[in-house]
Order: sequence, then C-alpha cells, then structure tokens
Amino acid sequence: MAKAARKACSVSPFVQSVAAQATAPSARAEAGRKPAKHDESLTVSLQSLRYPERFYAVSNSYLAFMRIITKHISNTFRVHEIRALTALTLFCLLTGMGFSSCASKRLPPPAEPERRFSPVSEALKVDLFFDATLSMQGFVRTPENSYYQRMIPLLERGVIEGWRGGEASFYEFGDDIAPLPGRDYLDAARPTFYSNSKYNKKTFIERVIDRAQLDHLTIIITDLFQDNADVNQLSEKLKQKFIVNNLAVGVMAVRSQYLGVVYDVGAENYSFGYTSKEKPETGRPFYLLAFGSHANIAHYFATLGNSGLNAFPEKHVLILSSFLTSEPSPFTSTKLKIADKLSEISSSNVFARNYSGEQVKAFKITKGQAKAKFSTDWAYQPLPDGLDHSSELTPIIQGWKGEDTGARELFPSENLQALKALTITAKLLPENAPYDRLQVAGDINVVNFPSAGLYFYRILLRPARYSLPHWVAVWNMGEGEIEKWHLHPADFDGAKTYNLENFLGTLQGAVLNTTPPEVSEIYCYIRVDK
Amino acid sequence: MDKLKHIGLIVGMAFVFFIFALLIIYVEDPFLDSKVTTGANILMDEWRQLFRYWAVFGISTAVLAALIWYAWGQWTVNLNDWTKANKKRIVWLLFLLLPCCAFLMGWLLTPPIQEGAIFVTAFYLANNLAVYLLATVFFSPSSFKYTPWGAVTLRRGW
Amino acid sequence: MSYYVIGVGGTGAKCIESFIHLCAAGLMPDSKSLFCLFVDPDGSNGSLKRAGELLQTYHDCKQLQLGATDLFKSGVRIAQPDIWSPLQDKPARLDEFFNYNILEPAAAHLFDVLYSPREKQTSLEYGFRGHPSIGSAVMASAVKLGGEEPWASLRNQISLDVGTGEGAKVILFGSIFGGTGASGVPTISRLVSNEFKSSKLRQDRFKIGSVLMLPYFSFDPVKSERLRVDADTFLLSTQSALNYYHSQHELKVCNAVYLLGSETLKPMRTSSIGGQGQENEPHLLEMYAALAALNFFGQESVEGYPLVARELQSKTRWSDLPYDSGFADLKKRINQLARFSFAYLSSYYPMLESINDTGRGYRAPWYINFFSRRGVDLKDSITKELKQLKSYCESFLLWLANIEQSQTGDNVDEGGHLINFNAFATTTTDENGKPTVVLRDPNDFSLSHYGNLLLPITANYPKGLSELWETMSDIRIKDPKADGVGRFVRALYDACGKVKAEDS
Repeated sequence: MAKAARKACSVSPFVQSVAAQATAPSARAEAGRKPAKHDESLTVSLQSLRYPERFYAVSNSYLAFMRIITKHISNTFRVHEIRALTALTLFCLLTGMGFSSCASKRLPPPAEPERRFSPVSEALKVDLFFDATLSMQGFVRTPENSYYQRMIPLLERGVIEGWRGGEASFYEFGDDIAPLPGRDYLDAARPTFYSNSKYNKKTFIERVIDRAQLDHLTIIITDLFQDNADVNQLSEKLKQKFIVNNLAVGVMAVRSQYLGVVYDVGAENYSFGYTSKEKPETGRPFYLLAFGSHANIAHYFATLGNSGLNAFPEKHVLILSSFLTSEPSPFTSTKLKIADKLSEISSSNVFARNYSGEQVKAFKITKGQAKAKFSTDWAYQPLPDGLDHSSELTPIIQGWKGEDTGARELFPSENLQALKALTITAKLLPENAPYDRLQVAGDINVVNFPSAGLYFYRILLRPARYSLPHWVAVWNMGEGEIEKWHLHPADFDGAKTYNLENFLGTLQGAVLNTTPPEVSEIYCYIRVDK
Repeated sequence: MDKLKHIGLIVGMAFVFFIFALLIIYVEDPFLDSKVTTGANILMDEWRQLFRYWAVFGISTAVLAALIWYAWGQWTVNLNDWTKANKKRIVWLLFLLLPCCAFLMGWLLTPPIQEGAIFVTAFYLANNLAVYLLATVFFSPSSFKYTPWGAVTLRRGW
Repeated sequence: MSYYVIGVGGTGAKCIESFIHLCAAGLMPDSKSLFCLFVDPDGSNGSLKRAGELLQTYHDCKQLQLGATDLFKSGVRIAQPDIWSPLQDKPARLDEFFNYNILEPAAAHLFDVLYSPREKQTSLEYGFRGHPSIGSAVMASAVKLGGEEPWASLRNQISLDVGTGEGAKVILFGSIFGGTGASGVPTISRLVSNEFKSSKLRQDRFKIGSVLMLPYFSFDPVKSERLRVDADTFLLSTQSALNYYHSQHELKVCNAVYLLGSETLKPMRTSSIGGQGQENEPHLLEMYAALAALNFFGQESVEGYPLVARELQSKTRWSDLPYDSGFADLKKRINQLARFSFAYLSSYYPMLESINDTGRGYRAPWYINFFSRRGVDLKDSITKELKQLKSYCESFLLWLANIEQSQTGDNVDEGGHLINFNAFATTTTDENGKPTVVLRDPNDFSLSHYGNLLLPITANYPKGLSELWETMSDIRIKDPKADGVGRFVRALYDACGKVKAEDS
C-alpha cells in the first residue's frame, strides 16, 4: 500500500492538459495579437524633404511633443488646478505689463548749446598787419636787436609751425593798407619801413578790421595808441565784427627796447621822445592784436611763445572771448557728494530721444518728501589768459514743466512757479584763481512744485564779477600823467600805453554784454511724485 | 512615467522661479522705483539693476535649495525603514537656510538707500521664502510631499 | 454559484486555513460568498482553534470597504455555531452516546462485536482517537440536516441557491488516516448528497467534492494514552480506508474526489491526542488541498483522473502548484499578498501607531490622503480594523513560513523552495527542543528583501519598500466603493501589485 501510494505521488511530471488549462488567457491573447504595422512614412528622413514638407514634419513633431506634455499635465493636475495656475500666470503677466506700460511720457532732450568752443583749425590763413606809423620806428632803432625786431621773423614761423596748412600774408598799414609780398615783411625790422609817408602818419586800425576776414586769423602788430574816440569806434567795430560772431579778441602785450619818438600821446597828441633803459619794465609796449577764434588765437600766441617770445621778460596775454573754458561740464558723469531725499536716475529715463551730451543730470523725488538737496563738484579747466573773474558764480535758471498735450513727448512749458522750487548755489574752488574745481549745490523745495510731473531746468553759471588783469592798470597811461609830462618831457614814461585800460575795458564790456561768458551750462531734470 | 513625473515636478519648480522672476521685474522693480530714494553715489537705475540682480540671485538660490531638497528626498533617502521618514521637516528647514543666506547677502550687498529700505528687505525676504516655500510645498518629491509647512493644506491633487 | 467548505477534523481545519489564505489572495473564481463550517468533536483542538480565529479575522477584514479588488474578494459566512461537534450536548463515551445500556440485546451484541470495550468506554471529547469506525457511527447518528444548527441553515441555504438557479458547490476537507476526517468526510458527503440529489431539484446545480488527505505528517506517540492515534499506523489506516471506499463506493456521491499525500511524513512539533496540544503547523500539502478546492469551485466539471506531482523530487517549485489560470498567476497573487502583509507589518502599521501616539501625520503622505483628508478616525481604527488586518497579515506570513518550512530543514536560503521566509520569520526551538517557526518582530524584518519574498530570487530589489512608499504617496483609488480604512488598504494592496515581480 505504501509503495503504491509513493508511486502514485511521484509519477510523471506536470500533466500537459492541466498545463494547457492553466495557460493564462491573456497569454493566448498576446500570442494571437498581430504585430504592429510598420509605418513607413516615419522612415522618411527630413533631409529628403523639400523645405515646405520639412517645415510640416518639424511642426508635426512639435505638435506631437506638445500633445504628450499636455496629456501629462492633464493627468498630473486636475482641471481646476490648471485653471488656477493659468490664472495666476496671466495675472502676474498682465500686472507686470500694466506696470511697465505705465511708463511715463518724457521730455525732449535739451537743445545743443548755441556756442561751442571751436578747436584749433586744421589749416588756417593768417593775415598779419604791421603798424607802419612813425611811432613804431623807435622799436627798430635801438642799438641792440630789440624784442620787437626779434619777434618779426617769428611771426611767419608761428603760422607755419602752428598749422600744417598755415598761410601767412603780411601787410603794412597806417593811413592805408598795402600788402607785403614775399619776405618784404622782414623790412619791418628796419627803420626805413616806417618812413613811407603813405602809411606812417595815421594808424587806422579800423580799416584793418574792416578788411579782416572772419575765417582768417587777423594779427595787428601795433603800439595801440588810440584816442578816446578811436577806442570807442574800434571797440564797436570789434564788437560788431568779431564778438557778435562768437570770435575772440586776443592781446599779446610785449615791452620792447625803444629809441625814438612817441607820437599822438593824449588828447592833445603830444609827442615825446623816449629811450628805454636796461630794465625790461622800461621797455615800450607793443601789441599783437589778434582777431579770430579763441582757440586759434591762443594757439598762435602759444606757438609764438614756444618759438621764442616766452623768453621776453615783459609779456602778457589776454584773450577776450565768450569762453572761459574749452571743456563742457562733465555734469552727467560726476558723482553726487550729497543727495538727500532724492535719487539720481539715468537721463535716458527722462528723454524721449537719444542724447549724448554730458551736461544733464536727472533726479527723482518720491512721494512724501518736502525738501531735497544735492551737491557735486567736478574738475574745472579755465582757458589760460582769459578774463579774470571771481570764484562766486551767479546762476541763471530757466524752468519748464513737461505738459502732456497728447503727443508722444511732453511739451516743455515755461513754469515760473517751478523756478521757486529749485535754488542753485555754485562757486569755483579754490577761493582765488587759478580755479580747478567747480562746485554746484541745489536745494529743492518740493512743496513749490505745482504738481507731480517732470520738470527741467537750464542753469547757466556765470562769474559774479570780472576784472582786467593787474598788468593792464600798470601798463596804462592815464590822462593826468600826460599833462605833467608835457611840462616835464624828460619824465615821460614810455613804458605805458595811452588809453590801454579804457580800450581793453571797453572790449571786455562788449564781450560781457554781447556774449556773456559762462563757466558752465547744465541741465537738471526732476521727476516729482506728489 | 516616473521620469515624466520628476520632469513635471522640476518644471513646476522652474515655473515658480519664472513667475517670481516676472514679479520682480514687472511688479517689484517698478514699485520700488516709486518708493526708493537712493541718495548719493549710485544712480537709481544702477541700484535697480542691483536690486534685480540680488532678487533674482535670491530666488535662484531658493529654487536651487528646493531642487537639492528634491534630489535628496527623491534619490538619497531610502524609506525602506519607516523611521527614516522622521525628522525630515528639520532637514527641510535646514535647506531653508540657503535662501536665508541669499537674503542676507542681498540685503548686505545692496547699496544702502535713504527711503524704502523696508520694502526692499520685505521683497528680498518674501521672494526667497516664498519661492522656497512654494517650490517645496507644491513640488516636493512624493514621499515628502507634505513635509514642508503648509503643504498639507495647499497641496491637493498631486 | 455559492460555495460551501466543510473541514472535518484537525486536518480539515488546516486545509480550511490554507483555503482562507488563498481566498484572501483573491484566488477564488468569483466574489460569491463562502460558507464555512468546522466539524470536530474536539472543539479545543489547537489547529481548529487557529483556523477558527483566522476565519473570524478574515470575516472582520472582509468588513473593510475595499471596493472591487481581489483582496478578501470572497465573502464569508461563518456557520453558527462555526464548530459543530457530533458530541455536543451528548455523552462523550461511545456506549453512553448510543445508550448502550438500553439497547435491545441484538443491537447490544452487534455493538459488542463492532467495538471493543476500550472503544466503548474511552472518552471521545478529544476526537475519535484515529478510529474511523467510532467516528462514522457517531457522525451518522449526529448529523441531522433538517434538525440542529448549523446543518439546518446549511441545508436551507443550499436549497435556496439551487432553487434560484444560483447553484451550490460543497467541498469537504479531511484526512483519511485519522479518526474524525476518515469517518466524517464520507459520512457527511453521503448525507448531504442524499439530501439534495434525492430531491426534485436539478442535480446539475448541486455539486459536492471531497479532498482527502493521505498521510503527510507524523508525530511521536502519546504513550500515556492507550486509545490513541498512532502515526505508525497512518499508512495502514490509509490503505484500509482506500480499499473500503473503493469497495463500498463510499465516495461515488462526490462529483470530484481529490486525494493528496506525501511520500515523506513531516514530523510535527507537538504530540497530543487532542485538545490545544494538538496544534500542528501548516503544511504545503494543505495548500495543495486548498488549490484542489479552488479547482473544484472553478471548473464546471472535473473530468478524468489528472495526476499532479512535483517535477523534481528534491525541490518544490511554483510550477508544481496547480492553478486554473496558471502558476504564474498564483505566484503573482501570493506575492502581492505577501508583500502587502510584509509592508503593512514592517512599515505602515508602525507608522500609523506612531502617528496615533505622536501626531505629525505629514511624515506619511498616504496617511494624509487616506485618513486625515477623508475623515477617517485613526484613534478608532487603530484598535479595530487596522489591528484586525495586522492580525491577518501576521497569520498569513506565519502560514507562508510554515509552508516553506514544511518542505525544508531549518535553514532556507537561495536553495529554498517557494518562500524566502527568513525575511520575516525565523526558526527557533520550543520548550521541548523542537524546531518551530516564529514571526520576527517587524523591526527585525529584512527590509531589503521586500521584493524577494518568493523564491527563486532572480534580481535584487533593495529599495522596494522605499519605492512602495513613494507609490503610496501618489496613488489614487478611483473606485467609489472603496472607503474608510478600506480605501487605504486597497491602495496598499494595489501598490504592492505594481511593484516589479521576479517571476521565474
């Protein structure tokens, strides 16, 4: 029995019928399933497609990719969550765009300055006029080579060395004007030059001025003995010809050895003989009057100086022009030293168009401020030999408010009330010349702004006071002295020039009145929130 | 499908970053423009650029912290042992230190201003915390989906 | 179709135990309810008690609203009373049972011829002591289908099923080498079959089968008892029984008869004549018995004389286990339930306990999803449904370990047969020095073997539980019928099924 039982248990492996019965129905279904049909269209490579088809193939792939992503998103998130996320995204975008679209309208940038300091010309024609009157003869009759004589050959050299394309033309003048061709001008170093009766009687500088061309540099070599009438007339001519056209008048004053007679001294036209002594300060002044652009005059004088005139002991230069400095104010790039209750912003935030100038600062004052102030300074390079002036500066302010007239830009409208809001104080540093820094401070009374908006100010900084250089007074021959000398001719001081102070003072006045010089011209744009 | 899930959650974190980047650029920045007074030494535009930089740096750090939290929670922690699920909130809080450090950096390195400092501080802090919180609250790995504070209330459905 | 299982004796109870576990794994052909009844004069039988407790646990777990799932698929109706003893309220001695003293002389003499004095006087409270002759008489006298419960309910319910066209299948488990099973199975089969096949009801709506267990275990004799079951006589008893059944056509009433046995007799740990001491550990052959029942329930009719055996003498493999839809499906479902039980005991129940004690439910996203947000009271469920489920899972894993242990020695490694039980159980020695399998403390489960609970191990899956945790954190159950704690259990069960299976 036991054997039979054991045999029954160990017989045969798993029965086929039961195995067949136990086969999973799913397996049979799998076995019966046909293989997927190969989609031959997918094997076409992109490269074999022409361009439109390639586009469709790529866009179809993109669409298929987006379908997968969308399906996954919809499987991962419920519908209301997708809606919530979409709404949040749109809200943020619209809010942001709303903010950004609220960008304020802007003002046009400031106009280009009316006056620009012209640089030294590339090429220049220089007209040099020798005063051929008898008073000038004494400069060339000295035993030694006078400074005047030494200067003459340097005149042309200064032109040639100063400008690559420089051309010098020489003339003699007195009663009339005559050209000096070639190197005839060198005769001006000889006494005979001044013996021509056609030219040696009267010094008609005004004729030279009439003849002078604005695009040339005109140099007059003269002793500058003018009477009062002459001074006024001459000054007026210079003003009308040069000053109103933003050209400068330069004066190089040189004391030279002298042996001769000085004519037309004083209102009575006295004559005095004069011989200069050893000391340079006893030399008789002669002048190079220059008319042209400030840069050309300064360059010519500098070239002459480098050529040898710097060795002359008694020499002064004064250039009367509307320019005190050649460099525009680097107002934009200066760092504020003080900025209280306001923020400096880039000027591109306030300009409707591109602006490349350096004279502008823009500020922003947020809501709730009553007062604000700023202060800054920057390096200041005055032009050499210019007008003497005080360190105190007078600000001349014009104010505008940007009005929205519906145009793309704000319209600048002069606003007197806005002027009350800004107070500027400015000065040059140090206290005494030579100055090397310009300091500007602004106080803003926000309450005075009529409303929120964009304001802009044009601020001109001009010296409070001017004066002539000290040497002018020293070299000036006053009317009172002449009568004394008339009584005592031996006391005549030939080292002075009659009416020099009057002449230069009048010229200075003409410059200050016609084209008043500026230390700086700056602009402030202020965006005010109220 | 697992890969798609990870990609989806990580894309979700990136989406939070993107939303806050938009918020910084289009909402916070213009708002601060009307509130902040910078004072001397810096232009408002430069200051705003710095603000945007540090704000984006902050939310980048926050989303990076969230990503590291994700990677750590998803691929480093082995939850064969159920006790390993303990104390993970502390780890989450430790990762929060990263955006807090980024906040400090931004707060210290942003040039000082005269007005509006409180808004700047609030934005830096809120941005960093919010990005980290939202990224982890909504997109933490499945095994730790409710570990971040507020996740139990806010995360529903995935 | 309604299903009825009757376990006769201790072996029958163990077969029902295996059957319950297979039902829990969803191996029944459908979700129709199952009627269970234990027949044993020895109500304190340890194996019977274990099976009865398991049945109650299954019933409790079935109350979970799991929705449409294989887990605890079949409904269970437990007979009232669930254990029927032929000696209930009756004298426990054979002579007293049959009122020997008042029998007519002829009957009394016949009684004397059939039964020895010892047989007549020995107490039957621990069963029929391996004497089917005693059992048959008692069974035949005691089983009254139209009378006492649970037979009346059984009869009525079957009548209803058959009458409505639903159909009914009844299967009986029992051993033929002992006392109760050998006597009870054929007797009860005959009685039940006669009740319905004699009626006018269509016979094709009622089917009855029996699973007879031939010897497959042994134990040391209980020397103190004179009338006892002796393992040495198992084969002899089996031979006698088989001859008897064949000659007397005792089992012709059955539509199917399944005979199972093993050439090696597994020594049982305990030796007892009955009572609580007679608690024998589960055996693989009982799983075969349960699979036989599933075959009977799943087939329209069982034809022929199919033979089932291991392919290799030295090793049992999953392919050796017969199941209608294939061993792969069987293995997959057992695997899923094993992983479910393992994960539940090692991770999910401890975490729920921790949350119940200390809060911080966020540590377990699945807790938030299935408990907190759904308003499931953890405090209440941890002491009821969750504890009941824990009890079931422990039973299931211990049963699996014993199934494996029944095939091997003490150490199971990769050379093991079916179950890698070292991941969750261990062998130890009891107070008598006998080897026994005990469940490890869940803290000592080998967590990295979660993915390799069934043998052979074809690939390592060290992060299985971690990935399960992740899956559980995301899983959604769309079945509206899954609710309460059942929704969580359903989710965990489904998630365990999603894990990669190492099928060979």
